[in-house]
Amino acid sequence: MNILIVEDEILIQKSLTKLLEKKGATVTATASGKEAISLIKDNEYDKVICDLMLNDISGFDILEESKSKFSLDEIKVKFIIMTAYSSEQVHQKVENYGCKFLTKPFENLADAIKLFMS
Amino acid sequence: MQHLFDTEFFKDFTSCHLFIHEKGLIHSEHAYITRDTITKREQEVSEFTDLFLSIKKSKNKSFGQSSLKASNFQIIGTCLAIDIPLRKHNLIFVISRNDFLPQSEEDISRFNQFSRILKSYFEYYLSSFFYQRKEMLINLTINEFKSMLDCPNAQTSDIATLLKNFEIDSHDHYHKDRIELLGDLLNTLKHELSNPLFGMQLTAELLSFEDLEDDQLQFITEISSSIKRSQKILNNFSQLYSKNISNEEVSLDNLLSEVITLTKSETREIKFNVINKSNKAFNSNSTWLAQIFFNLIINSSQAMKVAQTSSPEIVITIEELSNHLTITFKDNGPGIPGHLKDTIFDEFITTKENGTGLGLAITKNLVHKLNGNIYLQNCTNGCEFKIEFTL
Repeated sequence: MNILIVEDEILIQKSLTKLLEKKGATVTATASGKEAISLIKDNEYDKVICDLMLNDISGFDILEESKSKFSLDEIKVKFIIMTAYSSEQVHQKVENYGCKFLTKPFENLADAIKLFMS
Repeated sequence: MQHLFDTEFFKDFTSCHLFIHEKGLIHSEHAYITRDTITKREQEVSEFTDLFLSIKKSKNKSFGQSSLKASNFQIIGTCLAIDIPLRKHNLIFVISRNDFLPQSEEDISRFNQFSRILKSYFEYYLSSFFYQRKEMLINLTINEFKSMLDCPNAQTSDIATLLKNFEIDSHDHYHKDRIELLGDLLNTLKHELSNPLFGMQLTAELLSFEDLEDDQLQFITEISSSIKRSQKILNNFSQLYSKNISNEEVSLDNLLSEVITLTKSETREIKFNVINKSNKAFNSNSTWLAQIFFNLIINSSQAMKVAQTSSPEIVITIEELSNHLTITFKDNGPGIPGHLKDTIFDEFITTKENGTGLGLAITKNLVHKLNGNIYLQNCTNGCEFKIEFTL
């Protein structure tokens, strides 16, 4: 399973990478949203786990850019959004894309890993 | 502000500009700050607006010497600039190394992160000034009006009631805004800290899967539980100051425990005894309740500190009496002088040297908003306040 992690908090990025690799996934990780856009364009990932508040651009910008490569149905299955800034507004916006949404810190790590590997 | 240059991030920077515009005014303030000097000047609002808009349009907030439009101020080389819209003010913050090197991605990202903290800080700082000034203006107007009331023909009673309500309202708004700002500040702090905390939590979990010695595993488990505790404290604090105005089921035990933690810097020496004899669900507004508890605990602790009460103690009792819930706060401090007994909830009545005399007036107002009553039960043998709510 090929997974891309887009997360600028290095400890989260590195530990998620290790946890998913232990489960047998091949993981690419980046802290930059712009780099993530070109990685998504040039590679095939089964899942993209993406933080919303990145330092350069937002996770929503990545979703928008990905529309040129994927249909909305594909985005729905492929992308999992995570954020520490959860609000009704943000929830609604993610729901409009149909993606799965996780609030940091995860309530249950095992469930989150299961979702990433599904 | 000059302390900025002593911080790790800003140590290579040599100057900064701060522009502040209070909404509705035709002038804005500009401060030019270097390590040794601060130069201030007034500026036309149009100049400010041009600069604000040109920074707002930029995505990465990194500028060359000539790229800041309508900039009637000196920048040598490249700079980082951010537009900060606040409730009552707009703000521009520019920082420069006075060289021509482009800003690195890392500089830009750290600057953006810093700007989020800056926004909360200035929101709190400037608003308190704004309200202090506004309050001064209101007080002046009220005093002017009051002297007019000395005129024998004035219908004083109606106008006096009107004035009294106006005074209470103005303090109420001031208080509410301060609480909201504190809530915003705590929220920003929560969000800025919860990401690195979560990173640590994940790392601890990851390490716990390794083949470790027993004592190493114990350390990791303790680190993990400390992180979870920190996350919980952050969550609870930001909830205490939320903008929530709706009622919800409140656990008084939990709420009191959070408020006591929050007052720790003032109440370190005090022994708390919380006796809860009620097991009924209580629907109320937790933010306002927390404010009420906070004010009563701080008042008691400050009075006991000044009086150097030996073995200071606060006993909080929660009881159900028929269809009433009562919460009493009893301390063993110096009590309240007899002549203040009947006016202690009035505004500008204080026993503290530097007190504003607003704490108990606001507390009473908040209790009334929750459809409750507050009484001073005893003021000679320590001090005892009783709050009563209908269940």
